[in-house]
Amino acid sequence: MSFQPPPLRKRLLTSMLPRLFGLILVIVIMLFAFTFFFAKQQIDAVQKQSIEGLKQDLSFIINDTTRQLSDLASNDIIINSLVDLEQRDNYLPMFFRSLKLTQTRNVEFALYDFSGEMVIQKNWSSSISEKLDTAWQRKTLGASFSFSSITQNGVLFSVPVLLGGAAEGALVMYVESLQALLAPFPRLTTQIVTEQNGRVLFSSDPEFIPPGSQFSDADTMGYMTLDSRHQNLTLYSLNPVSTALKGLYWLALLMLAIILGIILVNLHIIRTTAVLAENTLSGLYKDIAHRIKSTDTEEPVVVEEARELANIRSAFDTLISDLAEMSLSNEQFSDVIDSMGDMLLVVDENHRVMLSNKRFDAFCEDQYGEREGTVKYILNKLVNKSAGELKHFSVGDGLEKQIKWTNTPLEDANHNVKGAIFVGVDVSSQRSLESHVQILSHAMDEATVSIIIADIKRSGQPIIYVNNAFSRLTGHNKEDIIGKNCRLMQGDDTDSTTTMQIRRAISNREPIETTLLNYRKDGSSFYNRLILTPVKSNGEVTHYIGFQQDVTQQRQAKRYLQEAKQKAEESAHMKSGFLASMSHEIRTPIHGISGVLQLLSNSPLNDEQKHYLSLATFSIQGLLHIVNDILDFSKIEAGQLQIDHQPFDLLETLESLQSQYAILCQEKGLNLYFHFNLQGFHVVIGDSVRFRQILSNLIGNAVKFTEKGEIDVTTTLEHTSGNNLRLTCAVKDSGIGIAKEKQMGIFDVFTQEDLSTTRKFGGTGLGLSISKQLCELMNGEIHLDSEKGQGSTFTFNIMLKEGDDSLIAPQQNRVANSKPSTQKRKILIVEDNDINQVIVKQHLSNHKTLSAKSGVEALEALSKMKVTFDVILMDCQMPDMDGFEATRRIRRGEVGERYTNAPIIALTANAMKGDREACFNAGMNDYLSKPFNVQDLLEKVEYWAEKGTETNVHLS
Amino acid sequence: MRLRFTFWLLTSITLSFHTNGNEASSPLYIGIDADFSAVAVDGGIAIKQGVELAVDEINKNGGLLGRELAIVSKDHRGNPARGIHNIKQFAANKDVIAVIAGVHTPVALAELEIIHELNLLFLVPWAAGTQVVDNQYKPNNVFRVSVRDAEAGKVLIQHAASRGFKSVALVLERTGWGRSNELSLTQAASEMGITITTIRWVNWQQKVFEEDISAIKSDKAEAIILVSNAPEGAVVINELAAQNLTKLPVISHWGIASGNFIERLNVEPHSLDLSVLQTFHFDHQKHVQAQQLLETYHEKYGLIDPNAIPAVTGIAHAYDLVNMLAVAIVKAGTTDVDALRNTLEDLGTFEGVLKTYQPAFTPTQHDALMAKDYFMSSFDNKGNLVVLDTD
Repeated sequence: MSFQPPPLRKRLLTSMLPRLFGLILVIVIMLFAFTFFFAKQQIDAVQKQSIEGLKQDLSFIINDTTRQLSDLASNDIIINSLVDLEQRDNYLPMFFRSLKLTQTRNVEFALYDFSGEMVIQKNWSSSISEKLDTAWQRKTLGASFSFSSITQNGVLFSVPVLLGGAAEGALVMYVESLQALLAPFPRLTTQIVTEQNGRVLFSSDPEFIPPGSQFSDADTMGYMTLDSRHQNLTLYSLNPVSTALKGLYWLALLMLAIILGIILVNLHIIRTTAVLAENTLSGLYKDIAHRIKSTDTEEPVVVEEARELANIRSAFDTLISDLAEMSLSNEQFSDVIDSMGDMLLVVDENHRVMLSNKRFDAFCEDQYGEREGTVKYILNKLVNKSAGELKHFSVGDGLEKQIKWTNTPLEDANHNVKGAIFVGVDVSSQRSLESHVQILSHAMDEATVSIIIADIKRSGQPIIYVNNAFSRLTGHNKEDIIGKNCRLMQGDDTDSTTTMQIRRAISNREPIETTLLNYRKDGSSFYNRLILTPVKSNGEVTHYIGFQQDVTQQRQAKRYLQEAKQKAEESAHMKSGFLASMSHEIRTPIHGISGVLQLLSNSPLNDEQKHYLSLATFSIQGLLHIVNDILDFSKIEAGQLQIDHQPFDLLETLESLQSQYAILCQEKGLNLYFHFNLQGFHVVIGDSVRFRQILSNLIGNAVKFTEKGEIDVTTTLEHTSGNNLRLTCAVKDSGIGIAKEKQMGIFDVFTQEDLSTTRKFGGTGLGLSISKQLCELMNGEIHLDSEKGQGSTFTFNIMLKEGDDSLIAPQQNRVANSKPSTQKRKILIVEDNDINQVIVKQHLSNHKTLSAKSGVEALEALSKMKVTFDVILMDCQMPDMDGFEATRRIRRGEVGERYTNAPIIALTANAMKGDREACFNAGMNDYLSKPFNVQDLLEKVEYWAEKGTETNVHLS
Repeated sequence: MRLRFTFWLLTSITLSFHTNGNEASSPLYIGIDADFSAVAVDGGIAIKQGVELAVDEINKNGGLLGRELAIVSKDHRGNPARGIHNIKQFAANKDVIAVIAGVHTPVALAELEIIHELNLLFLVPWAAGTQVVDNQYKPNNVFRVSVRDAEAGKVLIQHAASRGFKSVALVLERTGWGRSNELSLTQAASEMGITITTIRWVNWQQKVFEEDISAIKSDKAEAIILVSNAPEGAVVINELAAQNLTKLPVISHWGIASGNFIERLNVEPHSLDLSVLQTFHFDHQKHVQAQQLLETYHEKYGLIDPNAIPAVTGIAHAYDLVNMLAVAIVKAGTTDVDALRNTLEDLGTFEGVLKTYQPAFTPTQHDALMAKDYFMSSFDNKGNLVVLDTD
């Protein structure tokens, strides 16, 4: 304690004052510098702005006046007056009198002709200097440019009056002085415009600097000036220094006052702070010293080397040594009770807490921190009880806690009760587990599925549990069945293999699901759907749980269904067979009629007969169409329609369709347009016949339902994946359209838009349905977009595969090859139907023909006749021996070598899919479906006869 | 720029003959005072070509009085003041024997005073104003081979009458020429019993004619008679088209044929019902003289479709006038103006390209062409004038 540090107040004052003054000095200097700099900037900006304004005013006057004059000069009255010398005096003076370009008075106007002669003037009194006169004339009359001049001689503008691009005259405006033109504008500063020689042309303050006087810099003492050149003029902005800097003086004074104020305030604050700090610390010291004496503990604090603080530190040192001697026994005891797993609470007789462990404290904390309330609650509930369970709401997890409390009296050595000891155990999880088990058991009891549990470890594998549903199902009470084996429910008719399976599964500890016949308590039987699942306990299967269900009714339903399906299949099969024969039976007579009609058409007829014949032909075609539709539809229904996958030329198909319908459209006066985007694929693989069928159906409908306008058929191919192609085809017409509400069912069977449509347009109503089914068979779809009266668009797509030209066999271009049959061919007609035979014979009347009525007759004829037939026409369905068998035999050589390669053309009424293949498989060369076209028959016969001859020649 | 350059060039030519004029072998000059750059350029050039073709022919045959014939042309740009200025310059050269006038009647009218004051021979191949010839000067130095408005008025009104129109509207340019036609047209109309619904005046370089056409429309005129130059004529026709009146017949004096009319139109010319007064056309005058003129024209100016030669009347008129002058000079044996005037009035039968004049002029008649010499033409789809078959 030999060294005494200086008091805090002195230290503070000596360190802070010099710094404060230095800082204030720097700030003052910077403030002054900035203020001056910005003030200067502002004054300069004002000056610049003023000069710019003046410049703009001048430019505006020049440009605007020139523009207005130019507008005037292009007025046709002015131009005409230069040409119309005789009569211009009638209108020009009036026009000129009305001229007024600016607000300024004493503006002089004049119109000059090309030679500089004045034509007319207004207010023209001045004598313009010769120099100026020459200048504007040279520029405006000589060079056809506009001209302006601002000098002490006045302000002059001239613009050319143009005719054919060159000046034929000039319009001139003159004002005596610039002062008159510029005066009306308000000014930021005093502004002067002088000529280069210093003569003032304009002054915004004529009293200060009068216009016309000589201006020199000497006049501007006490003014800030800025000057700028503008053409031949010098522009000045004058601003008195006193005005400019007035603001600045003001600011400087204000700042000085503020700075002085700041210094004074600072000095005062520093002094007050120092005194206050000193007093505070001294007080603190005294306070601590006092508290140490009265036993409470405090943490020692180490601070800077002020005397007061040093004192504090030494006081705290003493305190620490005192604390170190505090007792250890207290700690050990509390460690023991705090380590207890249960809660401990000790109260005295007056219910004051004597002791509690950490766990209890934590518990109280969890009870809203309500220690007293919690204690009170426990004491109230357990008064005179040695134990009890209490529910406590836990704040921490939001659950109710179940605590089991025991109440033990606290006795001293003399067994005097001094208070009570409460020990609490948390039994919440135990209770919740119990309740969980209860729920599960209850759920099983009440389940609607019959549940049964058997113990398989005990001998006899007795049932240990059944639920209520089991009792309802079997009629057995719980009491009756528990302890017994499940076999109790089996009876005489129970399938023994099923019971064996169950036993095997159980012995293998596997789950099993089966159905078996069981018996109720009253002896009635039922089919029991049984699911047995092993239940594991500690890795070992100890029990089996079974779920049972009465499936007697389901079994019956299944049997009925199977029977129904069988019947349906049989009937479909019958239908298909019926249709096949229908097809044949109907087509044969149609063929007959068709053939006779064709024959008839070749005979001489009068016009009326021809007309009747065409009606009959038309009807038979319609009938055929209907039969084909019904047939197709039935095939689709019977699932017998198969889609071909043969290469075909798409473009050719489309072109042939176009030419087919072009005539029809032309007759009706419709336009038919085909658009393609085939992406370069000509040849595709798919069913050309069915594609053609869909498209002709749509186009046919379009033609049918369209009275005028056009039909657009748009076909696009797009690549989807691999070598798959999607063909999209849209047929758009401008016909009657289909109402929205009818569109839904348009693809249904026998649906046309309404019954009146059927009456008007006819048709089977199957076409669209067939088209839809065909599209779906080709992995596509069809849809309609239409509005009543607005036409319809049918769009369908089908899936095809890529193909190429090489896939298509070279075409037998029959038309090109067919020569008029000059040669008589020898033809064998094998046909059982008399009418058909007559027709074919008649068609082939140019050739030699022989008929056979069956395959047997045909073989006979072929083997016995000496002549060699060029072509054999073979009906397929015949009594005794059909066409296929006969062909096979011919090919086998039963009628001689000469016929093994002879051309055989099938004639068949069978339009069912597969007939064509059957014909080729039997060894026939070609195929004609009845009713056929005469032309087709003749061409095919000619083609094959020719081919047969070639082969023979070749062979020989 | 090109235009101004032409001025300077012309001025320098003028200066050059001032200095060389006194030499004995110097040529005789024919002055042309026409519009070469403003509104009737085609007409000006055609006149110059007609003069050139005639002068070439005369020089080929040995010139006149042993001297070469030369041409000096000045551009008056349609401006009368400029025209007067030009005449004064011509007069300063004593070797200028005659001045050929241009298209514009106002210029010609304005020049009459100075022409007679300086006693120059004034030959008019185009300007049609009646007052140009029928002036108050005695002796009269003006000789014209061109349309005479008093006659033209008759022809235009007759054409209207022949097409069965009972009422017409007049559109006239606000100059001496327009006024000259106003007189002749109103007189002819009253004689023929045709009503004039309205007279509309158009200023030179006027750009808007909307109200006037609306007025003509509301007055229900059956046709328009148009007396203007090409720029104003085009404004009128374009406004007709703008108001969907292309079918309204327009019977035009020949002013629109003097320069660049077709280029200024916004409509196809053949869609209009537009007939134009003419005096000469290679399809109308088919005699030998006309054929020869066409040949020499082709030689000098290149092969152009005869129908497509612009302002062909100017060529024919100027050609005939210069040839008449040459005959007169040879006959008189002098270039003295008084002598030439007398000789021209007594020239006898003259075979020109336009017609055989029997004779062209008399002491009382200085107009060579009359109503019977005019015919109507029309524009074909190429914008060329074709002779209109009138029955």
